[in-house]
Amino acid sequence: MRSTSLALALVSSAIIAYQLSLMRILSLIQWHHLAFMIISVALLGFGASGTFLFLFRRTITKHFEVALFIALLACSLAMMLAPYALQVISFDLYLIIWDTRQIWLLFILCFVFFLPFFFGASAIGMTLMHYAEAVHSLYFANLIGSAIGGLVAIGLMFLLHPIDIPPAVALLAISAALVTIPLIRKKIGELHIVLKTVFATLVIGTFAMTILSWVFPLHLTMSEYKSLSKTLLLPDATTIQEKTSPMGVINVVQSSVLRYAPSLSLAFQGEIPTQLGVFVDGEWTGTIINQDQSKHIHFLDYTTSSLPYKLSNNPTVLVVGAGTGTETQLALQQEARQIAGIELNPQMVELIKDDFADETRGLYNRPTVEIMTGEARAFLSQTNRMFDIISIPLMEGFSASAAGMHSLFENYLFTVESFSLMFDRLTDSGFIAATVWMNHPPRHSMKLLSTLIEVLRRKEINSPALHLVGIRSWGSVTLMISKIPFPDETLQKIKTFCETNSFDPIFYPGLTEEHTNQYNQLEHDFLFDAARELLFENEKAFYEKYPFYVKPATDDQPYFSRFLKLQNIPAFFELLGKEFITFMDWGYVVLLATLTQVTGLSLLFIIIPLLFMKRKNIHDTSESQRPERHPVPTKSGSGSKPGNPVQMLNQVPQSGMAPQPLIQHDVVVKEGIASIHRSKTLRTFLYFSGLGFGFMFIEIVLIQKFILFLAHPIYAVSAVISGLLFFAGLGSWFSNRISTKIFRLSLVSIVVLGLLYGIVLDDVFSLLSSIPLWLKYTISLIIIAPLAFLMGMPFPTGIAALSKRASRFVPWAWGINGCSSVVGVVLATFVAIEFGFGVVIAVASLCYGIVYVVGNDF
Amino acid sequence: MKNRLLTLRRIQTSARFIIAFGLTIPLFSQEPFQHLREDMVKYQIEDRGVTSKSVLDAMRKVPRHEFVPGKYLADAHNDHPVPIGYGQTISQPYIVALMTELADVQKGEKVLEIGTGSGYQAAILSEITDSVYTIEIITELTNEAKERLRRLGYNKIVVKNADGYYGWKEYAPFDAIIVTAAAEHIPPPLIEQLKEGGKMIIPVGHPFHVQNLMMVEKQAGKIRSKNILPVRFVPLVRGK
Repeated sequence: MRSTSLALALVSSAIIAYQLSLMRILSLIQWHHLAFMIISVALLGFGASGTFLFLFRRTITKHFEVALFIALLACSLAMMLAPYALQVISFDLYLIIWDTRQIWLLFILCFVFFLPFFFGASAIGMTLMHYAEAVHSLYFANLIGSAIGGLVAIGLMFLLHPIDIPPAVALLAISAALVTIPLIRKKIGELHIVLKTVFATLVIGTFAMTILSWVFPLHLTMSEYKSLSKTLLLPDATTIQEKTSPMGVINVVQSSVLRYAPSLSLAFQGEIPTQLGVFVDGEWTGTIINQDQSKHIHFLDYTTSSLPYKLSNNPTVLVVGAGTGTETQLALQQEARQIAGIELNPQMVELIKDDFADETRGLYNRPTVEIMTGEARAFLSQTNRMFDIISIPLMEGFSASAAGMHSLFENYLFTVESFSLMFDRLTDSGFIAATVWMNHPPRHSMKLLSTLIEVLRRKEINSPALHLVGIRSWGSVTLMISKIPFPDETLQKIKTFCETNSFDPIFYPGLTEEHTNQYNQLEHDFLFDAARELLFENEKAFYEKYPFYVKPATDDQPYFSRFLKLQNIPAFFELLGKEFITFMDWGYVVLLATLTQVTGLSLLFIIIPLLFMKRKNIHDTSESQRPERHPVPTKSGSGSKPGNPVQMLNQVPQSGMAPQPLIQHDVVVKEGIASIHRSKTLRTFLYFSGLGFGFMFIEIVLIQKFILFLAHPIYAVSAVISGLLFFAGLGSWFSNRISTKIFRLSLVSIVVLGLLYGIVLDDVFSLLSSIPLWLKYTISLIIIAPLAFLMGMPFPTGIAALSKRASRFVPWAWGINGCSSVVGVVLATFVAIEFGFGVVIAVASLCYGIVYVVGNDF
Repeated sequence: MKNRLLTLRRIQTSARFIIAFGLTIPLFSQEPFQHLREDMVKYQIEDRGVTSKSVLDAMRKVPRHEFVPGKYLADAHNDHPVPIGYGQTISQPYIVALMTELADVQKGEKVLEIGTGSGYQAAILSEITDSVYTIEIITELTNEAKERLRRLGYNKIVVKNADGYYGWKEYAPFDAIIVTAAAEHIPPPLIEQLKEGGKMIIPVGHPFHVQNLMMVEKQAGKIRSKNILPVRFVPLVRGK
């Protein structure tokens, strides 16, 4: 039993670590949202394992130890081999719109990655099924293992390239298999010598393959359509630096033809210097400008981003998202007095500060430049410093922006609350300036415009129109809001700047239509119209009529890059045909496709066992009617209501009545049994799916809230998930010691705490925003602990109760929980995008409410 | 309705492709793809509003299937871009036609293309004018395109393997410049090499989903840009 628990913990940690490493690999060689889809489908291995265990429960129960060993070994083999599919199958997301072969390849990839999860989940599920009476401690091992797995994965991502992680993780799964060998020693001894040899070969072979996969690592080919792949095809292009961390793989590429001048003015006539290209996960992120070519660096003055520096003398500047230093360079050129930069990725800072300090002539080490690592929101809420300019430079590649790659990403930087924080940190004459790529029809720029106007409104600025300025080139838009109305002399400078650079004004106080749309002519200047409508007319009507979703992003719906309005899809299709995909947010399209797939497959996995149950229900009542082998725990049974169908079934043997009356072939009795089974089936379904959905919904909301508080998405996510799983594990361990009354109280407490956290956490966090980081982590764990502890109780309690009343339902329940957890993650993202995190937490509470109602009978 | 028609046409063209290959090669061996091109021009290009006779004729004449890798032969005339390797594509027929029409090239005028790719766009241009200069930065693509154009008899097209950033000073100025890959900046030397009154056409977006085209014009020393495609959204925004 102890070795089984250990095996369970090991395989659970392997599964979580594998999932995270797979996410990294797929994000690197393809795109993040494809990774999201493949992994979501693959995780349905949990749901499928329930169906499998249900169908083969008798055989598995009979040969449990052998089955467990095989499942664990198969899991480790699949973990090791599955990534090779990426080497063999030449799948590319970009071809999928018109190349149906790609759909099949995607299907094969999903299936290949489904296998490790299926085998791993089968091992866990069969253990819970076999030792159902010890489910509390086994589930504890499962959750603790998962908590450790998350941390192991994050650690490995610092040490190893993502491609090298699966073999390391597979070792964990092999260890789980080895731990169970003593359980089958006797059976091995009884084997024929040939089978013994096969067995030994298999075990040693798996080990050997793991080692070999390190010696001969995978050679995964990145999609040829990723920026890095294309750049490496340029003459003499070579990768001169590579760094890896959970935040991505950074590549620095050198080529004699690499030049970057984002949305450069058409009036620029000089030379653009060659630069070093910097890529994160194969996508263009920025460049490192070699200071030896400093005579050419003035090209930065010919971008819309340089506007704020033309309006301020020797300003103090905060660069939000310092990246590779281009904006810092621009600020220095414009004689900024002091520059503070904040960058999330420490390796990016390291790159400029240390690795390329010579090339940049110590750009990040200059006395007037201070670069900090961390989340901008945390810095803004902690600092007392005031800035003349707070600048948000272009932060994503041109293609990624155009393709709507980031619609699934929560972006807490571009929310109304974030800009409000920035606004508070402005000097009296200061302004916020943000630059985004121009796409057509405007989306990013339109949402930025609406967000900034909303900030001015929330700050109760009397005439917001006097505080807003916007200009555009052929490819970028820079918008600015100021604390005091822009003075006339500043407006004159803006006009001159636009004329010199062939830029067009979008908005400034007093701008008339004839001065717009002169240099970079649009068929229709949506931005100019929108600014007027949002400032002076009916903004609600504007949001309704605009074909894309451009309402301001908020902390509750922090999806700045989400533009798709579901109700507009038919109109788009009518107008553009298949090309409408071109204008969609790819991330969102993938989310919807994933939701459809996982829901459909989940229903299939849940229904298959039902078909078998239905067929057997009337004729085979042996399981439900036979006297219980294990007495129902008195605590859990004591508070039950009379008249409950499940209990009526259980009460028959308990009350000493013979089972004969129930097995009479009487129609009425048969119908009664069928109805009881239906009711039991429905309750089991509602209980375990409610738990799956509820748990994941709460987890996702907590992650979002703690990301803001803990200042770093990666650490926040790992701390929250690991903390949540750890305390849930403790809850599971503790749950067999509680009475039904306490159990029911714990369900109510989850609902109450969930709602409470949803309502008050933001305020609590904003009060505590300036405390030291270690204290933040401590407080976070204290906040997570009670809710997670309670959330760890219902699953093992349900399984234990179910195993005593209808043990064959256990694998089905395991499958339901697995499916609903997977669908839960995808659905929670969808609900958050469409309705906000407030609704997600409300739905989570509703799920636990349902669990409470149906849980009366567990 | 138009989309349904397009779909039907696509099925029809695919069927014709099969018939052309499977049954009628002996009868139409000289030009088995002519029908496919006729349909491509009619339903994908003319129906979408391209009217220039020289462009439509060129699109009908240039054997598009010769510019597509063998494994994508069946897709050659379909209404989408086709991969040609090295992360590049041969653009959707409509985009090629539209870019050519917007460039407004006349017989005898000098055109520069940046990004030869398969050579298809250059071949289309060379059906309109004799002076076509094209630059490709990827050596393998340049060599393949050179060989292909020579084989198909497009001997007047001048192909160079170089960095398109600097344009082609020896032959400048150009009446039109077509840049076939989306760029995050427009190289100043290209603007410089554009003739007064000339036009430069650049696609905006990703190779697989061009969202609009940008036209840069040089008039009286002033440089102006225009965006072309999103006009289709105006009725949606204005509430139809």
